[in-house]
Amino acid sequence: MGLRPDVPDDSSLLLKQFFYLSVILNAGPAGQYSLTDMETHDVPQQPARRNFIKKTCAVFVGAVTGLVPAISGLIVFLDPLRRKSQDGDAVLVASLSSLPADGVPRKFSVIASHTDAWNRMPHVPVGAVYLRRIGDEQVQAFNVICPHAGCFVDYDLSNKSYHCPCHNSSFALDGRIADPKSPSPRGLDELDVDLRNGNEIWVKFQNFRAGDKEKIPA
Amino acid sequence: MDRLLNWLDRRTGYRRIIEYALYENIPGGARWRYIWGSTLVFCLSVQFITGLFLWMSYSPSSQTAWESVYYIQNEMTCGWLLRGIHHFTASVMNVLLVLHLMQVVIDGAYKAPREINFWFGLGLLLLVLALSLTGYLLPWDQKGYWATKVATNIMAIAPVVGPALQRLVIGGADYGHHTLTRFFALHAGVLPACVVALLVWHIFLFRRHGITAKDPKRKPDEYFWPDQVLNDAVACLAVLAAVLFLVLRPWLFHTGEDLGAELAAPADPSETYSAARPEWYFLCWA
Repeated sequence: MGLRPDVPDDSSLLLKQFFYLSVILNAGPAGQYSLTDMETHDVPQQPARRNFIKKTCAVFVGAVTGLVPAISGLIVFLDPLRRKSQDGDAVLVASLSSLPADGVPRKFSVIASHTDAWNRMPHVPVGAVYLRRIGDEQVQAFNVICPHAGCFVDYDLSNKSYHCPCHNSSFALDGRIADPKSPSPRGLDELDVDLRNGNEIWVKFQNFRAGDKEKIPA
Repeated sequence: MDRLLNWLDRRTGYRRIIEYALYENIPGGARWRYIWGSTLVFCLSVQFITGLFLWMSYSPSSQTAWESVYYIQNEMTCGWLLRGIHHFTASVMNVLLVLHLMQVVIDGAYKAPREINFWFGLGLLLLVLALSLTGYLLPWDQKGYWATKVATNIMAIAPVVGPALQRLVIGGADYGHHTLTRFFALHAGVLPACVVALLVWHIFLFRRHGITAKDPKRKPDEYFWPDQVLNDAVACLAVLAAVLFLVLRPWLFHTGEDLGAELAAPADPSETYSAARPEWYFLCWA
C-alpha cells in the first residue's frame, strides 16, 4: 500500500459513501485510499480451464458487442475523407471597364452557388480574387488566399505588392514571391480567366492546398 | 510488462478498481435473471457513442436540421446504420426498462434497504423517456414536428404554469430555431448529464447493498467475473442483434422502406400530417 493510508474502520458512513463513490469515479481522493475495507467474500473457484474458456468468451463477446456501434460511428466520422472539393465553374466576377488601365489590382468578391455539406445556397460569397489588367484585352486573376497558411492577402499600394499580414509573405504584382524570406512555399495562386462578350470577366474560382510547393486543388 | 503495470498501479491503483468492479459477490452464482441492469448500461453506452458521432454531423436549426439528418441518412457512408442503431436502441431501451422494473418488483428489490435506489431507478426511467421525447423532434421532419407540437400543447394545459412552461420549452410563441436549440441542449447536454449523475448513484447503491439474490440459491456464491460477465455480454449481444435486425428489416424482408430509422418529409406548418403520433412507447399516455 506504500504511503496510502487505509480508511479507518470507524470512519463515518458518510465518509465511506464518499469513498466508495470516488472509487467508482476514479477521481478525487480515491487514489489516497485502499479498498481493503470493501466487502470481500471467499468464493470457491472453478477449475482454471473452465474459467479460461469463460473469460475468453466474455472478453470476445463483450468486445464484439462494444465495437459494432463504435465502428459504425467511426465510419461516419471518416466520411469527409472521401469528399472532394467542388470543381467550380467559371463565374462572372466583374466587368473589364471596372479595372484601372495602369495594372493596379482590384479586389472582387466571387458570388456563386455553393453546396455546404447539406445545404445548397445560390448566390453566396465563396471567396475573393484580385484582378488586374495586363494588356488591353488581358486580365490576370489571383486567389486572395495566401498559399502559406490560408490568410487573406492585402494589396499594399505604396509598395505595389501583395502582403500577407499573418506571416509577412510578400508577392509581386505578377503573383511571384517578392521577398526570399517569405515563408510561403509558392507564389499567389493564379486562376483561369475568360473574357466574354468583350467586357465580362469570368473566373474559374478554385481554392488550393496551403503549405505545399505544388498548386494542388483543395 | 509486469514492471510497467506495477508502475501504473502504484500511481493509479487501477488493479484495486478492476478488482472491485469484477470481484463482486453474486450470492447463489451467476443467473440470467440478473442481466437487465447491464443491458441498460450497454444501451446507454451505445446511445452515448452513436449520439456523439451523430452530433458531429447534425445542425440544430429549422433551416438545417432536416437537411443534415437527410445528409447523414442518405449521403454519408453508413450514416443510415449509425442513425438506425441510435433510433432503435432507444426503442429497445424502453422495453428493457420495463423488464428491469418488472424484475425489481417481482424480486422485491425495492424493499428496505434498497428504497432509495428504487427511487433513483424511477428517476432514470423518467430521464430516458425525456431523452426519447426530445430526440424525436431533432430531425425536424413532419412526424417529429407534429408529435412534439401535440406534446408541448398538452404541457400548456397544465394549470397556472402550463403556458409559461410551454414558452420556455419551445423558446417563444412559435416553433422554430429556438425550439430545436433548446431540445438539442436538453437531449445532448442536460438530460445525459442528469442520467450520468443518477446512474453513478444507482450503481453505487446497488454495489453497496449487493444483488437481490433469488432464493433458493442453486449454486455456491460466485464472483461477477467471469460467469455473470459472460451472461451479461451474451445478453448485450442479443440486444445488439435485435437492434441490427430492426435496422436491417427493410432489406431482409424487401419492404421497400429506408434502411435504419424513418425520416419523414421536412417539417411544414402548412402541410397536414395525418399521423401526428408520438413514438410507440408514449402511446399509452397520448
